Amino acid sequence: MSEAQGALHSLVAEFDDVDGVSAAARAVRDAGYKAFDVYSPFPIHGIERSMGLRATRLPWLVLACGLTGTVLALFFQWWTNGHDYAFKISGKPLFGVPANIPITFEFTVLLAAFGAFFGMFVLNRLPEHHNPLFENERFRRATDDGFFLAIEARDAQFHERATRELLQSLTKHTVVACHESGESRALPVWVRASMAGAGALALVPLAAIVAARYRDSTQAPFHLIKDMDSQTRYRAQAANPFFADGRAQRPDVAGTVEFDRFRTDPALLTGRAGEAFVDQIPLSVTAELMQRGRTRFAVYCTPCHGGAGYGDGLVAQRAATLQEQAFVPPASLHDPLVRARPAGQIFDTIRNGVRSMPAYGRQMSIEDSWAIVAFVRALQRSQNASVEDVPDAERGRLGTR
Amino acid sequence: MSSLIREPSDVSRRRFLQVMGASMALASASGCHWETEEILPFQRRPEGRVPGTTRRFATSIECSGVAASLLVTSYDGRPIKIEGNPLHPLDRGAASARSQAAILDLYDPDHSRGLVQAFEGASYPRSWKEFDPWFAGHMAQVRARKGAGLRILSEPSSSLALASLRTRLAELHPQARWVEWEPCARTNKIAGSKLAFGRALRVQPRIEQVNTLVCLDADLFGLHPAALANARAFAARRRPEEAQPLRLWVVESSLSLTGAAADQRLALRDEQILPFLLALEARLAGGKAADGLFLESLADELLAQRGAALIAVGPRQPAAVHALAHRINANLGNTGKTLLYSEESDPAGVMELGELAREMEAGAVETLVVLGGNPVYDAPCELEFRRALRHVPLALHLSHYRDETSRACTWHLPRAHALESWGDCASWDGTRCLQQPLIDPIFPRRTPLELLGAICEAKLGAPELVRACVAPGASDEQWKKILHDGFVEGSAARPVEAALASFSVPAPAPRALAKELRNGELELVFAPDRNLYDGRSANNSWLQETPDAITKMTWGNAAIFAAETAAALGVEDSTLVKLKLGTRELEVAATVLPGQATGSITLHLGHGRSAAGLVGGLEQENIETVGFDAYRLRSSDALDRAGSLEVMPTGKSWQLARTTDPAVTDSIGRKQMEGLVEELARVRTLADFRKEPGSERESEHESLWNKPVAEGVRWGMAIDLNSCIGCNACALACQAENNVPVVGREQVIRGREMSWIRIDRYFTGPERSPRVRFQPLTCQHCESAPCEEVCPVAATMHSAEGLNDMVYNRCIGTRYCANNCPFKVRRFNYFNYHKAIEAEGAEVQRMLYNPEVTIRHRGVMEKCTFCVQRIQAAKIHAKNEGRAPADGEIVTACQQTCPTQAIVFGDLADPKSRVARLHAESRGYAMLAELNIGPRTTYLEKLVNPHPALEEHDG
Amino acid sequence: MTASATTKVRLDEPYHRPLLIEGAEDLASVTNRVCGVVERPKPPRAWYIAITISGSMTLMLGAMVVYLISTGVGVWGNNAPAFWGWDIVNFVFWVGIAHAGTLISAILFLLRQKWRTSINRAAEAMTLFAVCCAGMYPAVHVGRIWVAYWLFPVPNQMQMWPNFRSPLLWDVFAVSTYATVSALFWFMGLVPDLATLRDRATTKLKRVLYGFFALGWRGSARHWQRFERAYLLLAALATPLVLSVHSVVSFDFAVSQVSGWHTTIFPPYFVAGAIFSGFAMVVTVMVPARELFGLKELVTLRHLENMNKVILATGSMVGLAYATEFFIAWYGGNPYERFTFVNRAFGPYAWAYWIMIFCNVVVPQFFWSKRIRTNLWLMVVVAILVNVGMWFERFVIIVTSLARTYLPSSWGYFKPTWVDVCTFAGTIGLFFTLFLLFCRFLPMVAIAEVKTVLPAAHAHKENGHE
Repeated sequence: MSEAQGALHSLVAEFDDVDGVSAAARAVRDAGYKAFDVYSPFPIHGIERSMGLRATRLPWLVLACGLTGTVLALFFQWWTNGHDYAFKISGKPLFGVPANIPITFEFTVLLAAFGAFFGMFVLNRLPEHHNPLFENERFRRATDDGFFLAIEARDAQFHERATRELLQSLTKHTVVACHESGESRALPVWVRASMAGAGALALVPLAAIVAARYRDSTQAPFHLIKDMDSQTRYRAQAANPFFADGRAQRPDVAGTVEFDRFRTDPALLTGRAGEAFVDQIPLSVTAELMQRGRTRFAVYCTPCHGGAGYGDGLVAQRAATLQEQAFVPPASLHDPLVRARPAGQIFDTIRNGVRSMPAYGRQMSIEDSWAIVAFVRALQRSQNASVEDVPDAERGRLGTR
Repeated sequence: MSSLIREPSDVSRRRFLQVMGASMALASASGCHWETEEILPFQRRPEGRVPGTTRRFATSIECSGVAASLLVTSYDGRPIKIEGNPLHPLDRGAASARSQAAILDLYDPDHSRGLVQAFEGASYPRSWKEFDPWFAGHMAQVRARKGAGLRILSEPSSSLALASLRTRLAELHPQARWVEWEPCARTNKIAGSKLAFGRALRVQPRIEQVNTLVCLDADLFGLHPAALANARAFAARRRPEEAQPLRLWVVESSLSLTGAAADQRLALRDEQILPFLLALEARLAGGKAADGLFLESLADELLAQRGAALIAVGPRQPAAVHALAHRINANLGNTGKTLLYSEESDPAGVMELGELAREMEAGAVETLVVLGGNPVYDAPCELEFRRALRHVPLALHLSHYRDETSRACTWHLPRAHALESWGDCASWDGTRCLQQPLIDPIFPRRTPLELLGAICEAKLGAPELVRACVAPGASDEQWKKILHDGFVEGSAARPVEAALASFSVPAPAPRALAKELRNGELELVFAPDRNLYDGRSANNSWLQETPDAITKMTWGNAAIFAAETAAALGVEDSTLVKLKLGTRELEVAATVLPGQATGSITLHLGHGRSAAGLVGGLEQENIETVGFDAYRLRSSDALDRAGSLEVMPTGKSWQLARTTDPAVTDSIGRKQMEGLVEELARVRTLADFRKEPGSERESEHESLWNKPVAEGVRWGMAIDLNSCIGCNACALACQAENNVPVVGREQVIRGREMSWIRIDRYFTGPERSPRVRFQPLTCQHCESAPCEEVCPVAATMHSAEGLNDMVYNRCIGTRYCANNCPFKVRRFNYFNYHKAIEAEGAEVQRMLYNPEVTIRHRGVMEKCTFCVQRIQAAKIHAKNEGRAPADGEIVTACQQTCPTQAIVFGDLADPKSRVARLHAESRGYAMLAELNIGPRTTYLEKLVNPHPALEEHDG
Repeated sequence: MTASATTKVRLDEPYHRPLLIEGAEDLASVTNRVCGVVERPKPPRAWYIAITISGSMTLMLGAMVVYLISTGVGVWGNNAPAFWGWDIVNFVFWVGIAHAGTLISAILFLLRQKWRTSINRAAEAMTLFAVCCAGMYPAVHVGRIWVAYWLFPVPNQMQMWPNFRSPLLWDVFAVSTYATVSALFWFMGLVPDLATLRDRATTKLKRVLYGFFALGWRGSARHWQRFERAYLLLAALATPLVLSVHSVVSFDFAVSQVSGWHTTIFPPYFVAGAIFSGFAMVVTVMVPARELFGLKELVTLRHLENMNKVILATGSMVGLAYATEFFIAWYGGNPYERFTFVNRAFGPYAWAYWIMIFCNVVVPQFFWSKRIRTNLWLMVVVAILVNVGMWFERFVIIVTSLARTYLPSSWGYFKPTWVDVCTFAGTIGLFFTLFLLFCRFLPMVAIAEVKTVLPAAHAHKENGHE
C-alpha cells in the first residue's frame, strides 16, 4: 500500500481464480470501460474476448519482415556474386537461384523472427521497468498466483467512486487505489552518469579513426598480423644486410659469359674491323632503324648536340650564357672532321665517350647505338645537300629554278 | 633451407607454456606497422643487367668424374635455379634431380663457411690468412723431402686442369703419391673391359639404334652417368609410331628405374646374373635349349636382332659379366652399331685406398691432403679409416661440409660450391665441359684447383689455368664462345676400335638357394641411393624429402625384402631387423617391395650420416641421423654384394616415412586399388593399341547448367605416361621454381608433404614381376573445378585464361577445397614451414627463394599454378615484341627439365599447338572425366611391348 | 481454441495415463518449486563438484585454443587427405545435440504436445549451449583464424565478397541464424518467469538484475495476447529452421564430390540423427537434474518415457538411413561409392563403423521394452551410448570418406593428437558448465507455461466461451 502522493493512476481489484477475473472483465467491459486490463501469472484463455480486445497486428508485421528478408537476401547475393564481385567459379553461371536458396531461406526466417520478437515487445510498450502498479505490494502475486483487474484513471468513464463501487461489487478483496509514485521515474544520477561516460568512451575509437583518416602520417600503416605481406624473398635490388655492400644483388663474376646474349661479330660490337673502324653500318639500315635512331638521338644526343646536331643543345646554350670556362662545347656533327669520321668511330664514341662526353654503352643496346649512327649520317647528309640531291620531281617545291 | 625442417617436428614436442609465450612474443616482436622495403641499385649498372629480369649462365657440375652440363638461372646476380644445358649433346636441357638440388647446397647454412683446425681434441676456427703462410712454409719442408710422406687423396675427376696440376705435383714432389677413392666407382666396368680387350674402355650406348635392349642389373635410366641421354633416346624409340619399337629386357635383383620401364623383367639374385649370362651365351652359340622360357625367348630375339641389340651390364656386376657382355655384343655384331667404345681413364699408377690406409697405420704418411670425398664415412669398413687418420700428423680435408672426415682430420678447409668455382670436367661422351662461377664465393671457400695450385706453387690462377688446359691457344672470341656454350664443341671422345681378346669365364659353383631360403646365405646388395647417391647429398633436404622413385620412401632407407623372403624369415614391413655379415651387425628398417629377387636383400648407401649437418644428422648437436648406414657392413672384398647374410628380426616396429603405400595394407584397399589403377594410370600392350588405337574415354555426362564457352587462350597440359620413367627431375624442378617448402620426417609421416607435383607409382600384376606405372600428378586446372565452388571466400577461382588460381592472401584455410579435390593435389600449410628461413641470421638461405613466387605462410592452401610466373614472364616478353607468345615459348619448370619430354604445356585453344594435338591423340584420356570436372591435363596411355611368348605365359 | 484443446487433452486421456503434473500442484506450489531451486541459498554439494570438474575442463579448452591459434592447425591430427578431422566431427556432433531444444519447444508446441512444457526450457537452454560448442569449431578450425570474419559479407575496401555458392557459407548463415532465433525464443519464454523471480526477490541486487531482464513484465492480458501470438509465430518459424539447419550442415558433405558424402539422403538422415542425439542428450542431462533439484513432480517419468519413444523412433530411422546408404551404394554401381561403403564396414576404420552401428541401431531397440524405457538408470545408459554412437557416426562419415577418396596414391589414415582430444573434452566441459550455471540461476522449468496445464488454469464454468 503506497500512501497517495502522486495522481491517481488506477483502481485495482484482486481475484483468486480465473473465473472471478474473467467474470469481472466481462462486467467491466459491459460497463463500457476501455482503459482497463487484467493481470495474471499465465495467459488466461478467452480473456481477450471477455475484455473485448481486438486481435493483434503482429502476424502482418512478421510477414512483412519475412518478405523483406527474402528480397534482401536474393538481391544481395545477386549483387555480390553476380555483379559486383563476379568471378568464374567452377565454370558455373554467375547467378543461379538454386545455390542461393539456403541463405535466402535462413535470412527470411531471421528477419521474421526479429519481427515477432521485437514486434511483440514494442507493441507491448516493453521494456517498461517502472509502472505504478508495482507500487502495490500485493500486485506482485500477479506473477505467482494472483489475478488482478485494474481500471485506469485516464478512462473516459472513470469516476473514482462509481468505478470503485463497480469493482468492489465484483471482488471480495478490497479494491485499492494505485497512484503515480512521487519519486521521479528518471534513473538514479550515478546510473545516468556512468551511461553517459560509457557512451563518451564508445565514441573515442570512432573519433580516433576519423582523426587518423584526415591526418597525414610519415609512419607506415598499422599492420598487426603480417602473414604473407612480409615476404623474405629478395625482390629486385632489395637489401641483404649479410653482404658488406648491403645489397641482395651481386655483381657479375669477372670473366664469365652470359648465355644466349653472346655475339662475336666484332664490327657490330666494337665498330672496328681489327684496329680500323668500319665505315659500313653492320645492320641493315631500314626505315624502322632510322625512326629508332631519330627517337634515341632525341633522347640522348639533343641535350648537348642540339636537334640538328650543330652542338647548340640546351646544355651548350646554358653553358655559353653562364660562360663556363671548364665546359668543353659539344662538337657540331656537321664539322667536316666529324663528317669525315667512319661510322665505326661515331659508334665507338657513343659507346665509350670522348673528352667530356660520357659513355652511353651501359644505357643503350648495340642496335640502338647503330641506329643513332644511321640517323646522324642522315642528319649530316641533310645539312650538306645540294640541289642535285633532290629528285627532279621534288625540285619544283623547292622554289628554285 | 635445411634447418627449417626442424621446425614442425619440434612443434609437436614443444611444451605448452613456451608456445603461449612464443605467441605473445610473436605478436609484440613483429611490430604493428607495415615493413618498409629499401631499394639498393648499383651506381653503375653492369651492361645487360635489367633489374627484375633473370639471366642464364652455362656451367657444369661433376659427380664421380662425370660432368653434368647445366644452365643456371641468375636473378640479380644470385643463382636461383639449375637447369640442363640445352646446347649440350647429351643433356639437351635436362638435368637430373640431384644436379638441380645442388642449388640448395650453395645456400645451406651447413655448407662450410670457414676453416677449422683440430688440436688436441678441441677445434678452433681459422682463416685463410692464418692458414696460407703457415701452409706454404710447411709445403716448403715437404718439398725439401721430395714430397716423402705426402699423400693426396682425391675423388676421381675428369678435370684437365687438375690433371695438369697432378703432373706438376709429380715433378715437385716425386715421392708423393696420388690416391683415388670413390665408393661407387666404375672399377668393375674397367676391369671387365680390360679382361675383354686388354684396355680400359667406356661403353657409349647408342639406344636410338637398338631394337632389343637387355639390361643386366644396369640402371641405364637411373644411375647411369648418361642416364638423361639414355632415357631420352629410349622414350624416342618407344613412340607408337615407331616402325620397330624397342623392347626392353631387364634382369636385376631389385627394381630400378630401368626395371620399372621394362617390357620383360626377370627378378634374379645379383650373383645369379653371371650364370644367366653364361647360359645365354651358350644358347646363342647354338647350345641346347637352356633352362627357362625367359632365356629362350630372349636368346631367340637376340639372334633375330643381330646388330640391333644391346646387352648392358651394371657397375655392380663383376668384371667377368662385363667381359661376357662385351663378347656377346661383339659376336652379335652389335659393337659399332648399338654401342661404341671410347677411351676410359685408366686408374693405373693410382694408389689404392687400402694401401694408403695401411701406410697411414704404419705411420708412413706425414701429410695427407684429402680433396673432397668423405672416406671416413664411406671407405670399406675393415680399413678403419678413422682410426688410421689418427696416425697422420697433418691431415687436411677440403670439403663442402664439415663432415665425418673433416672432423677426423687436423684441418677442415671449406670447399667452394660448383657454382662458385672455375673448373672443367668431361661428360660421359667425353665432351669437355666448362665450369664458370655464377657468384663470387659467399664465404671464403676454395676449389681443389686452388688448393692444389697452392701445394704445387702453380703460377696461374684457377680461371687462367682452366683456359690454358681446356683451350690452349684459343682466341678471346673462341674462349668466350666456350664459356657461353658451357662446353667445347665437338670435343666428344672419338670411338675406338676394340679388338676382342680371348678369355674364359668359369661358371661359379651354383648355390641351390633359389628354392629354400637359407638364412646366413642370403645376398646383401649395396646400391647407391637414387636421391642421396653415395651420401654426399645427405644434407640436402630437397633430396631427403623427395620420395624414392620406387619405394616412395623419404627421410631414410630400409633393407628391401621380397615378400617370399620376408615371409620365410618372419620379417615384416616397417620393422627393425638385424643384418649380420660375419662379425659385423647392423640394425636397419625392413620393407617389402614387389619385384625384389627372392633371397636378395638390397640396402641403399648414403644414409645414416653422423656428421652431415642439421638435415642429414649431426651427432655432436644431437640431431638424429636419418636412415641407416650401410657402409658399416661394406668391406673391400664385398663392395657390391655380400653372399653370407644372416637376418634376425627384432620385432621392434619402425615408422617409414613413405608418401603412399602405408595406407593400403588391407585386402579391400588393395583390390580397389588394382581395379582403379587400370582406369587411372592406363597401360596397354602395343599390339592391342595397333589393333584398336582409340583408348576408351569416359563420356562426359550432360551438364546441369550451360557451361560458359571459354574464349581466348586456354592453358593446358599433356603428360605422356609412355615416356615418363619416374625419375623425379620434375619434382625437383618444381620445388626449386616455386619455393616449395620442406616439412620434415614427422610431417611426411602425418601425410603433410607439400610437393606440388607428385609422381604416383602403382604396382600391378604378379608380386615377382610387377608392372610399374608412374603417373606425374599436378593440379589438373579443371574446367569446372570442384575446389572453386566450395571455397566460402572465393580464394580459388578461374582466371581469364582458364587457370585455377589460388589467391593466397584471400585464403582463410577452411581446407574444404582440398577435401573436394578428387586428385588431392592441394597442399595445406599446417604450420609456417618457412619459419626458420625468416628468422634472423638466415639471410643467406633466403637468397635461394625465387623472387617471382610468393612464399606461403601457415594456414593457407597452395598447389601447382602451371608456373603462372613463367607464363606471365613469357607473355610480357612477347608483348614487348608486340606479339602473342608462340607455342612452346612458355615452358613450365617440370616440362623444361623432363629428360624424356613427357610433359607438354601450351594453349588448348590453338588447334595447331603441340599440347592441343596431344590432347587429340588416340591414346589421350582425362582422369576421372566421368565427374564432369573437365581436367585440363590429358594423359597419354603407356604402351608396353612384352614378348608374345612370355606375355601369354604371364597372363 | 487452446483452451478447448487442453480440455480435450484432459478428457480423452482420463486415468489410465498419468497426468502431466503429478502430486497436488497448484499455482503457488509450482512457483515455489521452480523458484525454490534458484532461491535456495546453497546448491547441493554435487553441483559444486560438477561445476569444478566442468569448469576446469572449460579452462583446458581455452588453453587448447590458444595453443592452436599460436601454433597452427597442425597441432591437430588433420592431414592430407583427411583435411577435416575431429574439428568438423565435433562441430556436427554439437550442432546435432543442439536440435532437441528448439524441436521440443517449437514442433511439439505446434503439435499441441502439452507434455513439452516441463522440459522445453531446459532443452532450449541445452540448444544454446550446444550451439556455443558447435560454433566454436568452424571459427578456430580455419588456417588463419584472424581473418575468419571474411566468412561474413563485411564491406571492405577491396570490394571482396564471399562466395555464396559455397555450402560452407550456407552453413555459416544457417548456424548463426539458428543460434540467434533459438536465443530469442528461449529468452522470450523466460521473460514472464524472470518477472516472477523479480517479484519474489528478497535482495535488492536480485530484484534489480532479474527486474532488468524481466523488462517490466506484469502479466497484462494485452501483453499475454501478443506474447502468445509471437510465441506461436516463433514456433512456426523455428520449426522449418530446425529442419533446415542440419540439412544445410549435411550440404557441406552432400554437395561435395567426395564419395560417401555425395548423397541425396543426407538432409533427412542428418535431421533424424540430430533429433536422435538431441533427445538422448536431454535425457542424459534431465535425469540427474530433476533428481538433483527435486523436480520429479514437474518432469515426470512420462516426460522421460515420451522422449525415449522419440529416441527409439529416430534411432530406427537412422538405422534405416544406414541401410539405404549401403543399398544405394551397391545399386548405384559407382565403383568409388561402392568401395567407400565396403571400406567403412571392413576397411581400416571398421572398428568405428561397428561401434556406430551398435550404439545407434542396436542399443535404442531396448526401448521397445517399457521396463527399460521407464528405468532411470537404464535410460541414462542408453542415452549416453546413443551420444557416443552419434559422435562415431560423424567420425565415420567425415574421416573414412576422406581417408580414401578417388586416387589410391593419396589414401591415408587419420590419427588424432592429444590436442584434438583435449579440445573435444573442453567443449564438453563448456557445455556442462553453462548448463550448471543455468540450473543455478534461471528457472529450469517454464513456470508460466506449466501453470497453463494445471487444473487451476481453466475456467470451471464453460462461460469462457460466448
